[in-house]
Amino acid sequence: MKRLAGALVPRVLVPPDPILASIWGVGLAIRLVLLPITLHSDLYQIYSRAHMAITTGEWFAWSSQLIAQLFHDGWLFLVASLLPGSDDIWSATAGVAGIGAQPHDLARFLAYPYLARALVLLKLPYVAADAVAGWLVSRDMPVKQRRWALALWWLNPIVIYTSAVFGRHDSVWVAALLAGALIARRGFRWTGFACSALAAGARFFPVFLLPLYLVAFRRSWRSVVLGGVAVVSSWIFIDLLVVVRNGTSPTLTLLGDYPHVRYLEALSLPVSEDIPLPLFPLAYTLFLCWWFTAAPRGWAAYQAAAAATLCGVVALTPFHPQYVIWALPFAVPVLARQRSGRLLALLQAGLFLVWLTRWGAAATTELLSPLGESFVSALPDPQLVAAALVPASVWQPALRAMFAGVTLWIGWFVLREHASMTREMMREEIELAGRER
Amino acid sequence: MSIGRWGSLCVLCILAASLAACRTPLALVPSLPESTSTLTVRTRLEQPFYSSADGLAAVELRMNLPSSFGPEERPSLGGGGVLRVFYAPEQDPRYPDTDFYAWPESQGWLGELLPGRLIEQAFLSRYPYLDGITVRVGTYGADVGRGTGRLRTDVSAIVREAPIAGRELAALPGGGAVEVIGSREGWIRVRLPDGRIGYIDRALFAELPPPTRENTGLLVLRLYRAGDGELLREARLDVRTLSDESHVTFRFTPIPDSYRVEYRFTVEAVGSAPGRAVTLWGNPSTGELVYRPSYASVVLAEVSLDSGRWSGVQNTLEVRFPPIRPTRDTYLRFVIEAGERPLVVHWSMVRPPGNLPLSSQDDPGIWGGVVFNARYLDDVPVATLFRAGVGRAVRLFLNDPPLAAVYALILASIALLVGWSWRSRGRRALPS
Repeated sequence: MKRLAGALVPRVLVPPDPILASIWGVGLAIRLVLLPITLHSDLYQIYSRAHMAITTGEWFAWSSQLIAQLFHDGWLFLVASLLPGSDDIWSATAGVAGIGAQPHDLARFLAYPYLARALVLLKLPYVAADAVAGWLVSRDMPVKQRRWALALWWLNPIVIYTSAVFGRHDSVWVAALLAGALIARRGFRWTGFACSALAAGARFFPVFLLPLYLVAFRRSWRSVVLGGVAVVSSWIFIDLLVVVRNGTSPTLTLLGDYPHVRYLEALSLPVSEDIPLPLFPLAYTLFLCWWFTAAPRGWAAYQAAAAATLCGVVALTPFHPQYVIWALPFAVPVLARQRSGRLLALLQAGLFLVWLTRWGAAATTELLSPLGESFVSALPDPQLVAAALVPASVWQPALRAMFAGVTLWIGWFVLREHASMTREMMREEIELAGRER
Repeated sequence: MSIGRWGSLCVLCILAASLAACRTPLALVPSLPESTSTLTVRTRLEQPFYSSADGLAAVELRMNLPSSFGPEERPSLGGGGVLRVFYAPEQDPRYPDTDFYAWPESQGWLGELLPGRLIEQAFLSRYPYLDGITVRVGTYGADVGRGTGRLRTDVSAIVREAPIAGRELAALPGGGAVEVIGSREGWIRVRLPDGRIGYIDRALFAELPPPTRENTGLLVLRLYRAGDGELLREARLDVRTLSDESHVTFRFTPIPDSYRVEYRFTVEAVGSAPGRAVTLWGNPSTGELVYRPSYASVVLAEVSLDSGRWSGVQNTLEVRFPPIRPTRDTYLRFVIEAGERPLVVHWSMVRPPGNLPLSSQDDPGIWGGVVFNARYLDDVPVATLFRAGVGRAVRLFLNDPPLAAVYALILASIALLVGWSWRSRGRRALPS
């Protein structure tokens, strides 16, 4: 026992790097301040559905985001006992697609005596996921780069906005995706794949990374085929299971009712009068063809390809501000290595903050609704302030183009860094082989 | 004190002043709506809209400008036209009398207003220059009775579905007899041979059935400030001048500072008697009156369109004027009057905030809205807002001591950890 304590105490009591500790501390303090004073109706709706699932026992009723919903059902089940008298604060219509929570439901929630506690508890998994993702993106790096990587994630306004302000669950699945890649890097490729597939099941962004993963972490081409078959079979199995239980197919619900599928094709070139050529599917297919042809292997290749793909999704599709977080996790460790990369990350975050004004009060000032209706209504709508200065038809397309340009450049930057690193390694190998000869 | 300190003090004062009342530009809508078509203004065009901000300072209209001017024409942006801005309280749907023509069955007459009976009503005035209260009165047939009326011989009579501006139901030849069953808004209510009920202008009758009764006395309205109960205005109406089922306004001297002030008014009858009294329209179950405050028409801004600034990006003409206050939470109306040249203004199916249609004398059939934006210079009380926000945030925590304790513990731990790491800096070689 003494020996164990002797081994542990010096480890635990070693002072951390002060800059890293400060980054962690400041990031956590900012989140703690923002958690109880901000709310978006999406957060309220997903937990209202969770409450419905817990009270009625219909855990599979909400089929369009089944895994994400189950996650929230489970979390609310765990923390419900810490929210006294909360049975009537939820919306009964949050589970009705097209109707959702009504203003009077939200007003009831905002009048809850333990509102601050509720908001902190409901957003806690997202902050925890932010922290896990921050730890994952800054692992295995020299200390200076680690500081930058952590700062570019943990102090990034995009991440703080998504998790602590908007209260969006995407960082949970970002953490799962990063964990999957890290597990694969340690040699457990199928466990890592399961993690990545879980993230893809919850949010559609990681779906585009699964083929990249299978190729990068393959043992052989047969394992790639097996992985592909496993993914398709699992999806069909889950789909059929839900069809049998609920009578609705998640696939058809996604394709028919989910606006994000339409977003993927929104940006397109007119080929003829009635046939547009959507840019993201085109770019992704081209990239996939190259990926299968070049067939690079390993963590670094996957990281670069994943970063480029996710940057492409964010840049070439009409995104909502809470989804920009997906452009970050794989790009941040590479951006942290160079000053130009760090500048690009700062530029992206700055453009994101200005771009938020395009969404008006709904994505900015109205998020402060826990501070009272009179407080929110006295704040000027940033969209109207911007419109009074410059016509929206001028600044919105220009800003969107700049954001898309920077984000695409980040994707390219990460790919280019990987390519130059690979060339460097090959040259060293050749030199080493020459010397040995 | 050195110049640097004075400079710092000045900067701090400016910062404090700007924090106390920061003025920010605001637009009415984020972007101009899509144009549906254009309309030509030869005389007058009106557009009411809801204004949520204070300090209206400019109106920006999408227009077509002539590509060239004739030798006799004066080259100008607005062709000598003028834009005026007014309050539009008559369009404000937040007072009980929302529809002039509606007499819903859920409402009714409140019974004879006899001496000693006081009808009382509180309200929030949303505009300055309050100059009257409009109510609906009933005279129990004191202006016309039931029976047969005879139309004038020199004109034919249009029968309308509703008084004044109702849809035309029929046209009756002059000199004919018609069944009179009452009156509304000074128009005579008649029953046609096919059973339909309509209204004919009283001036078109040569002969009417005699009134069923004669009312006597005065109606007295007294207006008080709700806060201190001070009597501010008093107005009287002779009941003999009132028409059955009609709107009537108690007028008094305008009150300039009536914006967002709560008032209370009472109506009582003096000198009336049972069978000789009038009544008011309201909600019999609650005793609430159906009323509407009336305001003096004040030109808030008047500016020549020729002084506007053309935007080639938006194809708009922006006219500016000194900021109008107050305009927050009010209905406003701008009126364009054409000068020597007609104006070609764009309109859209998307109406401005408030969802009210434009009103054009030249093209009365359009139910859309003018394509325009408005600009404000609004005051944002930053310091007050900051205090309110922090106050509310503190209250959120005071309501929940366990959460406050957990927060204090976590924040203290963060501070300790960061402080410890900085104090112990350099004691440990960091792995790289």
